[in-house]
Amino acid sequence: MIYFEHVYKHYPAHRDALRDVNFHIAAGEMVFLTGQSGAGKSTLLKLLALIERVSSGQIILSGKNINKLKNSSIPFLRRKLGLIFQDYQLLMDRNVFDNVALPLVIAGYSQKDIKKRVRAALDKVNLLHKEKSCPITLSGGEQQRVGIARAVVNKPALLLADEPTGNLDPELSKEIMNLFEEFNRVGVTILIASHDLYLIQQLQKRTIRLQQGCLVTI
Amino acid sequence: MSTEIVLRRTTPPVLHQMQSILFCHWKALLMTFKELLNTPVATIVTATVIGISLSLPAGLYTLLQQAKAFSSPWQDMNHISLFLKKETDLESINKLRTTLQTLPHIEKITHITPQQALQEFRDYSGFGEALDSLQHNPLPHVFIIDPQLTLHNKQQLEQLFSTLKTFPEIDIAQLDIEWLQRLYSLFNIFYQSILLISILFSLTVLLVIGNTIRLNIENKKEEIIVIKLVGGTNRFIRRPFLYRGLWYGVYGGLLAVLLVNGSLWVLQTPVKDFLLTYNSPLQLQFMPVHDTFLLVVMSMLLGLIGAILAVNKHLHNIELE
Repeated sequence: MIYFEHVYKHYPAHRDALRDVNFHIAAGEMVFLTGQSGAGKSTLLKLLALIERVSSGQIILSGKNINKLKNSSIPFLRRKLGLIFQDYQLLMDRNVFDNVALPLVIAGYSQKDIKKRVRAALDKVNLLHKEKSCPITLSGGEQQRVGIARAVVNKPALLLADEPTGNLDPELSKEIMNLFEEFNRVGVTILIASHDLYLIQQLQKRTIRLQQGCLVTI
Repeated sequence: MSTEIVLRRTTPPVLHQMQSILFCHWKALLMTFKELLNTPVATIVTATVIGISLSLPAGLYTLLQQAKAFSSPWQDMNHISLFLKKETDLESINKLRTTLQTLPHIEKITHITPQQALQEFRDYSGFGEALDSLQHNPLPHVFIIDPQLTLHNKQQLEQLFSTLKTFPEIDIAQLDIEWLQRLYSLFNIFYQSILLISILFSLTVLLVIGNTIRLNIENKKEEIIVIKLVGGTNRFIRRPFLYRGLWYGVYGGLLAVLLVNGSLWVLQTPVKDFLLTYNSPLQLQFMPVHDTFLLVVMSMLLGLIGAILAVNKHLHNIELE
């Protein structure tokens, strides 16, 4: 599903963030992306979500070179992905329901569909009882679960998570990882950037390790 | 859930698409309306600045329109008044009248004797008692010449005027159209000034709305980033800001209408008193309906244009990190 072929990412006035990265992730896989801070994990995810563009090389997603995508098509690519962030990226002035509904509102779903899908997503992350709450009143683990509900509400085939447990204690982290495993079991491809090696070892999934912008283990 | 990503835009049926677009617009319209109500002070301040900026040119225009309407009955009064020399005797006066009647382009000659003139002056000036103390009538004989209606060309009129001036019996000849022409050129100057003022104040409105929208964009930076991350198009992000501009315009326009009509209401009594001294029953009117409509629509458009300019300039500055 995802092919990286000789991908380089160069930032002006910095050393290369990614150097000659090559790997493949098959549909339905759950893969961890590890490495120290600054190894290029976030950069790699940003390239996949087209938040950044590659300097050279190509990224093939479902058989298509995403670097050839026009800027105006980027939103439509992002609607097919589920993005999850370390700092959750929730809108604090809207309640949980509205936060999860956002991708559906953007995509122009009807009110009826939105209600049905948001409730289903919140049910999956076990937060249906909190739909009227404001994110600020929730714990870190709950906020991240809202973030995950928002990422899966569109039923994407690919989930990209950047340090999703970075701000959580080990127990909550385990809970979040279990959620990802559940989604993976129904066929969603998942790529998680994390430096929590202990947690990664427990889950026994394939791991891609980056070191100073280069791939070390595939 | 699907296991493959299909990288193409999913296009629902046209009717559904239209409905969903209309629904999005309707939602943005309502949402921005509510948001503006949630920050009443900021909204009122912005609307007031716009309202005041627009009320000045709109108010001046309304006043000028009415002044023009008030003066229009005099538009056809292009008489020539001939004041005869005091020492001219009745015989010469009658002779002159006969001579004048033979001249071309003269429709009618009215003779006002000094007695008639004095009586008229006594009746209308309010100096009745003071006039009684005069030992003899100081007023001369006057001929009021009405040129033929075909003689509306200014040059021909002036030619007739200069012919009349040459008669030795005539002391002063006065072309009464001159003051009217001056009045109309004055009106013209006022119209041009109002146009300039309108342009300047419209620019002010654009800048005010542009700046307000810029601040709105700054305040909503987080939201814009999240919307971009979950697949919001630029159009989706722009929409609420454009509606915000539109609402500011509507509020500002309505406030300007209120301000103009309020000021006209305050001016009504003094203007009425002033016009009564001219025996005119006319009154200051409120802004006509079509001008009101035009003002609000203009304000709305200014709001929209200001918002478009601000959004185009500042939305690009928000990049995903």
